[in-house]
Amino acid sequence: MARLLEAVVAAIIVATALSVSYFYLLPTNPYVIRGGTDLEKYGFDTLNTLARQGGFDRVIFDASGEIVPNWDQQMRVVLGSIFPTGILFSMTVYNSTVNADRFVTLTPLPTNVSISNADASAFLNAGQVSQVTFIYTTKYINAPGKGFYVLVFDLQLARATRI
Amino acid sequence: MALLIFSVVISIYSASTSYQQMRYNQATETLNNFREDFGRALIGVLAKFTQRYNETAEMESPRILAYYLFSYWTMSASRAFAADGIQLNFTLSNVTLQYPGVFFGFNLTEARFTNNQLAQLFWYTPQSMSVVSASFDANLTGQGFYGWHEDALLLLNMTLDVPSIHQESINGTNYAVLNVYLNREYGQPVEDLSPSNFNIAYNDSVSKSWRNAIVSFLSNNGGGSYTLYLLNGTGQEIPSPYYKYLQVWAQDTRGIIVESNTYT
Repeated sequence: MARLLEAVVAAIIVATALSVSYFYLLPTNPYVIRGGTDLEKYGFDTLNTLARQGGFDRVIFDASGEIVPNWDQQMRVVLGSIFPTGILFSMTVYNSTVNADRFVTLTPLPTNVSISNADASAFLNAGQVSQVTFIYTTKYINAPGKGFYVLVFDLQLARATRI
Repeated sequence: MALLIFSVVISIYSASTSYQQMRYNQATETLNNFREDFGRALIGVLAKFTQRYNETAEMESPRILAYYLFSYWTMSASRAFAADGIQLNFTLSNVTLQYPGVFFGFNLTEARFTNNQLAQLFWYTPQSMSVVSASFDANLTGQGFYGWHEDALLLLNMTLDVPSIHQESINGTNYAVLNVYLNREYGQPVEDLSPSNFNIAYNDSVSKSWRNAIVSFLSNNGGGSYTLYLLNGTGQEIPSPYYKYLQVWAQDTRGIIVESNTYT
């Protein structure tokens, strides 16, 4: 009788444990679940490295703190040289401004070309898509009265093929 | 049976740990970006603060500018990470910067504090400092992350080795020679300065006014130690004993200025 009771209790525990762990366990294909996170980390690492090395200041601004006219083309070249084949990217850079009512506005920096290596439909068909929001305050611009810009980067990354 | 139950419990534990780890990584990336940019923003605030003070020689407008820029950044950051449900609280605190002591002959009699100010200047002594400090608490409710606290203290510190001042003849030219030491936060030496990063003034005995000297060349001794070789504005020697009474400005590559005097 005692053994039967033990077996029933154990069975209940096992069933409960399995049902609880079901909600936490990873899918069978770990590439699927890790793919999005890996892309996100990749995006953060890339932007962080560019920020630490002063890359954004050099690409977007000139020595007097003005926005370089063809900064978008340069940025596309920079990102294109960093991300390997098979990774799609699309970046939008916003300049943060605060008006007299202390309302924050994110205004896209003017661009002539899209900072992307694919059109929008490619992202719709991609296997994994991640989005990274990144804040950057200009650091290396010492022009009088200028040089304190707060930029917000919106970077979309995707794998070109479905998994 | 016990082994079976035990193995199931371990599998639940490892699964939940893995789940938490994945969530943690996402918050880490966001917070790392936020922390680093907080430092960049404070460096920018201190650079603009010292530059404005150097232009105006009054403290009111630089302080207003510093708080405006800091406020601008905090609002921008809140806006940028609004989708992550970020909650921020910024505070200023009273951090002890230096205890009394003797620095190359200069006797610092009172300890220096940040004194609940965003930016502080301790200038016009042989041991001078420009400082900015602030703290923040952050929650990322959208990512299930709560309770991050961060303190930031950034500075530029310059010490003039007053007893080292002397005149030295090199190839027939008599230079005034001065050793200076520069470091930033956490005692990191400032290693990347050139003569253009320094401005020097000396008291001219004839016109009874301050005149610019030039750093003819410098020797980077490593560890933030520099030896400056000085001449007057026309490339002549600075007459004795006035080469001993100098005002020294240094601006690092981040744009932060500090000013020291060889006298008190």
